[in-house]
Amino acid sequence: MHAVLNLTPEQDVKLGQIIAKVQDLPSMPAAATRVLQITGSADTNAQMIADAIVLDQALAAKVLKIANSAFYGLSRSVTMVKEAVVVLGISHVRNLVITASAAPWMRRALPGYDLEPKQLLLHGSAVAIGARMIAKSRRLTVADDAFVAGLLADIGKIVLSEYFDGKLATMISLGAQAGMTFDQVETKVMGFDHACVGARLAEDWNLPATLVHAIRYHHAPSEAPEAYRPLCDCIHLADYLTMLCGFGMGGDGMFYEVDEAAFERLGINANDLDHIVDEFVTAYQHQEALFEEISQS
Amino acid sequence: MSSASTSTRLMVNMAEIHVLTGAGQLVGLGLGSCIGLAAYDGSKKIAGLAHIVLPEAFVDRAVTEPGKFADTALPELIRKMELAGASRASLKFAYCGGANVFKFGPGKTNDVLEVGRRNADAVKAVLSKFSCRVVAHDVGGNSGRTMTFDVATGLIQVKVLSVGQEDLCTLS
Repeated sequence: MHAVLNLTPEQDVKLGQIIAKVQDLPSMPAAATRVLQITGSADTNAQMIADAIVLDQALAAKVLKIANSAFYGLSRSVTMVKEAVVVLGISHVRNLVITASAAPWMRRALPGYDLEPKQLLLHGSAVAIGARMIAKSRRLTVADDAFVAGLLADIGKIVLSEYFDGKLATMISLGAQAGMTFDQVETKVMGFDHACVGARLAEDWNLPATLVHAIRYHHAPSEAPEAYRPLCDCIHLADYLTMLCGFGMGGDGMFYEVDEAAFERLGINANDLDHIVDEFVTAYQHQEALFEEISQS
Repeated sequence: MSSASTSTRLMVNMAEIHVLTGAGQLVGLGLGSCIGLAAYDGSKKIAGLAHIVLPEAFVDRAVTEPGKFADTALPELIRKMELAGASRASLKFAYCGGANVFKFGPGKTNDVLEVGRRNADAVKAVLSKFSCRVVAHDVGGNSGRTMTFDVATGLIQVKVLSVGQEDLCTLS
């Protein structure tokens, strides 16, 4: 049952077929999904997070390697996952776990979008950082969700890339002539855009509904159910900042629509955009080394 | 400033300004709304590239990265070129980037959101203010660009993703 997408049975089958035809489909380790679930509850603690992580030894090793990297500059090395959670903090480790879990398939080249290796991870990292920055600045409670949702917002491109290889230039040209954004062209060609496909992947991985909605509506936040709109607004604006800065930009470039209503709902004056861009670039530069570390792990 | 071999390929990241002499390439990767502003002294083979992010420095903040803003990047680029031995009178310029999102959607009220257009306008204005010789520019549209500047020849090539690479000009 795919409640977020609200598809007809025929559409549901078609989307399932589109995804099923892709070889080497990305997946989210069960331990990472468990970490997301645990950290979403009020009574979580470091031991519970560590217990979930150590069920996946490869993931645990990555977390320890990154925690001991030069980026954090810890005065002594941590050898236990629980220790890493205590030292770095629950929300930080949660973000690290998801990034490390997604990195192996997010660093692939996506020829259908003219994306070089690592560029999807670069783009997702930037949206994650921007979305968290915006959520924190607006004192929203969704800051950690914003990071993970921003990171994963474009995962649907991994599936659609398989169908667009060699067709991208034509799709962009036809879209521009018809006054259509690239996600509208995707829908015209495939029946679904990358946001729909990504939301379906997230549902299949049993990610929390908050994240599924954020992925689904990151290009159309005004269409999101009201309860999820603040998070969708954060992802939408962070995606815009990321496009402006060209982080991980593919052939679809800036062929998207910006919804100014998202600024208004977040209480952001558009005249402050340059300050926000400046803060975003600084925040990104500060975190860049960490993502480089994770992408190598 | 640094001398370079033909194999040097120096990435000029956001807000950075780099100058190379003799040989090598300066690369402005992933220009969305940003502008890559190139300067060249052909007689001495001195090349500089600034990766500009925003049109104007903030009046309420100290400028720590002059390459970030159009109004501070140009004087700093010229200063670095002269420091490397370039003659200001010989300098030629070219720039590219300044893309915008395809659409603003229903109810757009604020042109401030068009950062790419504002960046391109600001670069044009500051080049005019400093009476700089501009050989070519390639701005606007909705696609990202990568700018490659060959130090030995002054050739500037612009790659538009999904479209391909073309010569913009030769600044010699």
